[in-house]
Amino acid sequence: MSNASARQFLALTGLAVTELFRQPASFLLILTSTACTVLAPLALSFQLGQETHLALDSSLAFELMFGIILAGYAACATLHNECQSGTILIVFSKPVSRLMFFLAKYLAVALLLLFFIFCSSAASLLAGRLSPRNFELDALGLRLLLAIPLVAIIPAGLINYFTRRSFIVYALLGFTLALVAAVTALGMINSEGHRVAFGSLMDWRILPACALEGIALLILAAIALSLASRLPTPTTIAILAVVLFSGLISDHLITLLPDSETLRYGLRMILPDIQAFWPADRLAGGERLSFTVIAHAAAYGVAYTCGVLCIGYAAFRNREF
Amino acid sequence: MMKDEELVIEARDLTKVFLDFWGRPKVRAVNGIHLDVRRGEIFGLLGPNGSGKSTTIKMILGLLHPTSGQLSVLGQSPRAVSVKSRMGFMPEESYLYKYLTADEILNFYANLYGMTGSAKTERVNALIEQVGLSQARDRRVGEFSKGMARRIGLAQALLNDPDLILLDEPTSGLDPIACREVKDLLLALARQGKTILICSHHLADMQDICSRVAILLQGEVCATGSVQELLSTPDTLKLTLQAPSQTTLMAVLDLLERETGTRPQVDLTGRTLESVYIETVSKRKSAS
Repeated sequence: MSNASARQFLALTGLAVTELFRQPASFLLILTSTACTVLAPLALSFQLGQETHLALDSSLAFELMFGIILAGYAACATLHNECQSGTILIVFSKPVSRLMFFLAKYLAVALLLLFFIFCSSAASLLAGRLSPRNFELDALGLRLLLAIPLVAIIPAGLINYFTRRSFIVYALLGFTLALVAAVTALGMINSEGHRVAFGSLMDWRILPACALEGIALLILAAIALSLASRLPTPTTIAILAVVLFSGLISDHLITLLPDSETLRYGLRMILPDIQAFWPADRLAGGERLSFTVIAHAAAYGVAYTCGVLCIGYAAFRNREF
Repeated sequence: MMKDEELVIEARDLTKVFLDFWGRPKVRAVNGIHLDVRRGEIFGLLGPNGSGKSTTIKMILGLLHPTSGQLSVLGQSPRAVSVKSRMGFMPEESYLYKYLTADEILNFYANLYGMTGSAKTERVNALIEQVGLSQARDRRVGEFSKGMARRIGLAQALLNDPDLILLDEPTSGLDPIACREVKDLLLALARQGKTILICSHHLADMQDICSRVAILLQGEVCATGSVQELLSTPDTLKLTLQAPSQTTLMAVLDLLERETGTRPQVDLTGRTLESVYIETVSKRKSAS
C-alpha cells in the first residue's frame, strides 16, 4: 500500500470512527449494556448459592445481545446511511477504491465493538465482584456504581455548554474513565470498605470469556456490514439475530438435515460456529479458558470474517448509487 | 472538426435502464444518447425533472453503470479510480457530513486526494476564501444554510484542481450575488482550460455561461448545439437604439412594415431584476 493509499485509508477509517463514536445511539447502547450487566445480578435476590455463576452467565448474555444490536446498528449507520444520505456520491467521485472504502468501514465498526467489549469486560468484572453473597448487597460498591453515569454525563454537559464540543464524545470518555476507576477501586476493597489484595474478589476468568465473545461479535459485524450495503438497520439486526441463534444451535440443525455429508459440510461452512464462542458452560464447570482455546477461536474468526468480507465486497463492488 | 483527443467526454448510444427487484426493466432513464464534450468548454445539460440529466452525470462519474453504449471520460472508463483524480463533482443536494466543520470536511476530502502538508493547508484555505466561508470555517455544516452548504460543495469539487468539473444545479439555493460569483468563477475556470459539465433548471444561468448545451427529454437528446445557434432565429433580428422621436419611430416602422409585410414589435429595453439587485446590495455593502 502506497503512502497516499494509506492516508486515504486512515482518513476514511478516521471519519467513520468519528461518526460512530459521535452517534447518541452508540453511547446509549454501551451505557445500557453496562448498566444491565452490572445491575442484573443484583436484581436476582435469591440465587441459592449461584451468585457468581449467574453474574457471569448474564454478563455474557448481555454482551452478546447488545453486541449484535450495536454491530447491526453501527454497520448500517456507517454504510447504509451513507448510501441513503448521498455522502457516498461525493466520496466515490474521488479516487477512492471501493475495496478500501469497504474495509475502512469494517475497521471502524470493529473498533467501536472493541471499545464495547472493553466496557463489557469491565462491567462483567464489576458484576462478579458486586453479586450478592449470602443475600447481602454490597452497599458501598453500589454507591460507587451509581456515580459512574454522573461522572460521565455532568462534565460532558458542562463541556458542551461552555465550549460547544461534542457531548457524546466527552460523555463516552468520562464513562470509560469512571468505569476503569470503579474497577480499580472495587478491586482494592471489600464490601466493608477494607483494603484487600487487588482483584482478589474478582473472577478474572470472565476476561478471556468476554474476548471469546468479542471474536464472535467481530464475525457478526462482518456479516452486518455485508448486509448493510443493501439493507436497513432493523432488517440487518433481525438477520443477525437469526444467524446468531442458528449458530448457537447449529449442531442440532445439522442433525435435522438428510443423511448427506455434502449438505452437512455445506451448513457447517455457511453458519458461524457460535457455540465455539459461548464459554458460559465451561466457566460454570470451573474451567479457565486457555490461550489455545482463544487462539483457535481467533483463527477461525479471522478466516470466517475474511470469507464474509469477500462476499460482502463482491456485493458492494457493483452497487449503483 | 475537433480531434478525438480533445474530447473530454464521449458518449455513444448511451443507455441506462433501471431494473426492478426481479430484474425486469422498470425505467429507461437514458435512451441512446450521443454526447461530445470538448476540452475547455462549459457544456449544459438541460431538461425537465426525470429527463435523465442526473443519471447521465452519475454514469460519467462511474456511480451508475450503462446498460449499453460506450462512455469514455478523459480517455478512460469512468469506473477507473485513476480518472477520478482529474474530476470534481458537486451533486444536486449538499451531501455533506453534517457533524463536521467546513474546515474538517475539506481536509477530509483533501486526504482522499492524497494531499498533504502545506499544499493541503494552502489549498483548503484558498478555497474557503474563494467560496466566501472564511467566517464560518469552524462551524458544523449541519448548521449551514442551503446556500452555504452549496458553497462548501463547490469548494470540495475544486479541491484537486480538476480538469473536468461536473456540477448538478450549482446555483440552486444561492442568492443572486453568490450566483453571479459562481458563474464568474466557472467562466474563469473555463478560460484556464477546465472542462465543465453543468445540469441545471436555471435557464438564464445556463444561457449566461454555457458555450454549448444539450436538451434532454425522456432520456433522449432533443436538441444540441452552441447557445448562439440554438437562440438565433434565422429571419428575425433585434435592434437596440437610443429612443428616437415618435415621428421618426413611426416612419421607420412603416418603412419596415412595407419591406417585410409585418409590423415590427417595439419594446422598451430595461434592466434585469438581477442587475438591479446586485447594484443595490453592492452599493449598500460598499457604503457600510
